[in-house]
Amino acid sequence: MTFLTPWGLLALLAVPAVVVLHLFRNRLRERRIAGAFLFPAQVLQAGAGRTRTRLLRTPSFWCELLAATLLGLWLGGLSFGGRAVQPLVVVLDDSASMAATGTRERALAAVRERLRGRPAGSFLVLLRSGARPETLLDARERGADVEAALQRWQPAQPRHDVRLSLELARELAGPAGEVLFVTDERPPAGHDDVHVRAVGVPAANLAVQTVERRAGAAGQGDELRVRVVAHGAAARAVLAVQVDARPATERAAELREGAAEFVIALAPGDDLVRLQLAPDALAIDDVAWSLPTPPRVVAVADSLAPELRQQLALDRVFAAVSDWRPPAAGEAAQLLLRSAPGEVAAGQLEIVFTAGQGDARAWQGPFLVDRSEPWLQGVFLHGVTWVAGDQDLPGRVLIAAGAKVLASEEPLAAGRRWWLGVHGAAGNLVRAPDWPVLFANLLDGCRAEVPGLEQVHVRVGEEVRCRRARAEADDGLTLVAPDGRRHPGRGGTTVGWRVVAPGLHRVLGPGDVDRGRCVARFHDPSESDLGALVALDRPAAPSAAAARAAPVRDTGLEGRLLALLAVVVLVLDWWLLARRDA
Amino acid sequence: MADARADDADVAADAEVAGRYRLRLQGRHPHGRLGARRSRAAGGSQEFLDFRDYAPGDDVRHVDWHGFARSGELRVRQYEAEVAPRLDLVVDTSPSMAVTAAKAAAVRQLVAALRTWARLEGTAARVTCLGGEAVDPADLPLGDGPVLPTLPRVPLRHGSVRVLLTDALWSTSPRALLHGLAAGAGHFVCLQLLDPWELAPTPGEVLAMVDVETGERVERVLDAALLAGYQASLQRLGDELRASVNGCGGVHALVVATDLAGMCAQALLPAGLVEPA
Repeated sequence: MTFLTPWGLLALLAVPAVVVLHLFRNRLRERRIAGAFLFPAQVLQAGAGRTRTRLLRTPSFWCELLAATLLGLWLGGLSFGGRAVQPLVVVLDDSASMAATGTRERALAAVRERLRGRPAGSFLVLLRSGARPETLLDARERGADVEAALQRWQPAQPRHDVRLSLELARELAGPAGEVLFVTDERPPAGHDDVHVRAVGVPAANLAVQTVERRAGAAGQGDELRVRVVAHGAAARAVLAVQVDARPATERAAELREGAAEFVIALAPGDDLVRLQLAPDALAIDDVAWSLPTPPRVVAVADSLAPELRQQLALDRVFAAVSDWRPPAAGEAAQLLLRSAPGEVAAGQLEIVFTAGQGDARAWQGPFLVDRSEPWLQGVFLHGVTWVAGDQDLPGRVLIAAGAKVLASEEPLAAGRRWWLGVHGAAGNLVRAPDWPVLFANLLDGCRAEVPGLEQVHVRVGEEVRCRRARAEADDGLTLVAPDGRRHPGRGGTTVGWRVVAPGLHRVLGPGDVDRGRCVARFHDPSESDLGALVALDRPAAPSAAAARAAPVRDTGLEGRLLALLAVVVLVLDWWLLARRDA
Repeated sequence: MADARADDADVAADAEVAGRYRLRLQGRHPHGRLGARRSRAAGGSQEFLDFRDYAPGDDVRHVDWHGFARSGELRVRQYEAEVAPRLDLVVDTSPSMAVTAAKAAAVRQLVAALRTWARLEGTAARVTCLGGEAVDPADLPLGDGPVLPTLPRVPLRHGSVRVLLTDALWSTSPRALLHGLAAGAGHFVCLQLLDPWELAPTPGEVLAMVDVETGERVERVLDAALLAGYQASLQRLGDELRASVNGCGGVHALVVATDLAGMCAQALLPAGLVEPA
């Protein structure tokens, strides 16, 4: 006899607890009578009292003692040996290549073959590999459950490291358990204690490699450039194009050096384009989508005096850059142009132009530019004469000439503030090419703060990110997957979802207001290349740990018997009490 | 010493109360030894009872000669016999009769009073227990008797006045017992003795009640609803007992266990068992 859960034996403390409860049960005043049968039934529960009273050894008392003992033994996992059973953990390789023609079916057949003959109710876990392994089934085997879990398995992930899944499986199985890894390629080195069933068959496969959508000239439609690559022997690629769910065209091209390019001219107003290659060994990489990329327009709040704006030539600069606009009424701008520091909120960049105090002085370099700052990329200041007043700028140095700081970033609790010590009317900085480059960089940097989807084209496995407007920070966003499933978003200013299925996704705000669309396609050349797939059956090598491990025993029968007895005793106790009160 | 004096005083008081009453047996026809009570049996008193045909051996002094002269048939006059009635006192000694001190005391007082009244009538009362033997009244085994209603083991005397003293708190029907007791009796009286608490339990109490006969333990709040149910059950039990006793030709009297004077005045006298001496 063994106790599998010694901590559960603590539950046996319930036995003396029952005795104490009976000892300190609040006794009613007793009266000897004749003809108790004349008193009608009445339910009366005596509460607990402080003084110990005589222990009444009633049948109910013995029933409660027995029930507490049985429950304690049940929780303690009382076992009389049980039934020897080997735990089995099956790891299904969830990479997309497992969805190649016939591979998934062979994998399922291998699993069913392994499960055949195992006693019903034995320990089984089905794991789906991935960057984060997921459990398809974690229960005692029951035919219907296992089959349903197997049918739910639809491999579609990019290549990932399966070692994490195998290690998790080994932990779940324990030293005496068996791990079966079903894959289509050679297993990673090590893990010799894992039974590997590879069911891959090499095959040629075509895949959409790139989809590039270029904006057409004014009045003309966009241009779509699609590159198709062949993994293995293939001579020709056929591409069907659908525009807004309507068949548009079908193109065929001969493959040269394993690749073919298609250029498709879209009509003005064409929106969602679906590209589909002719069926081949792997379907998931044969399809791609394209959406026009909506501009992310930066709101720029300019509070400079007209003379200063003219001196800084900002009208010329902003005429040269695109995708910016003045903020709407009540809207928080992403870029603030000011001559004196003001209030800055999170997600805002404030540029403070200051001519400085005292006499202005010209600096001709050499200039020290902080290259680690991405917003200063392309700013070289060659041949620039920078005129600035005699004023120390606060914060981190961005641009300096010798010991003179010309631009700096002041640390703030929220948002960012740049100081530019520049005398617009003097020097040639505002006429140098670095000046519009600097503002183009600033606009690009602020663009990340513009509310809406950051990308409309993502790959399966990547993250769709949507930035909220500050005013709606508490609003809930939902991602609607191609199969209609809704995934609520969580996060602060930026909400992200990991995309697991190819197709058109929609982001909805409160009240199902459309907040944006994006398309995801599968792209992983290592999974599209089916040429290296293998078929093998490598049994697990016997390990010393497995030999030492005690066989796992199924003690479910004892547990069920104890639980059943406890229930019977409790029902008997209830019946006795009800009969006594009747 | 004080207790002894109090007991003596109680005994004297009971004797004084018993002296105020006598057994009322007019209109009834007990059998017994010759005595002062007329019996239904033909005897030697001066009270004419009936005529019957002459049989050899009859006292020729009782032949109705006038009738013989008119009809030519020999008929003899019958006169009521004067007897001293025999009293069989059957006591229920089950534990319920001693459930309270007052109830046990009332049993002893009633037994003593009935014996006194029997002695005054010129006969000795015999005390027997239900399901038991004849006992010495001084050693009444109160509380030791059987729980179920069973006849005494000794036969009751034919034609005797039989008084059953019980609380009749039986869960089974006492009909068979009552028929057995009333069979061959000159007169049958059932005195149902109950403690005052049994008649009217104190409302509002929360009690764990232990049945002295079955050992059953019941926990009850004596609220109005419960007491109403109890009273109804007790009333139904009393009604059934009364009907059974009356069906046997007997008399039923409900006696509340108080002092002897109270029991005589409130129960025995109204029931016609005693009359003022």
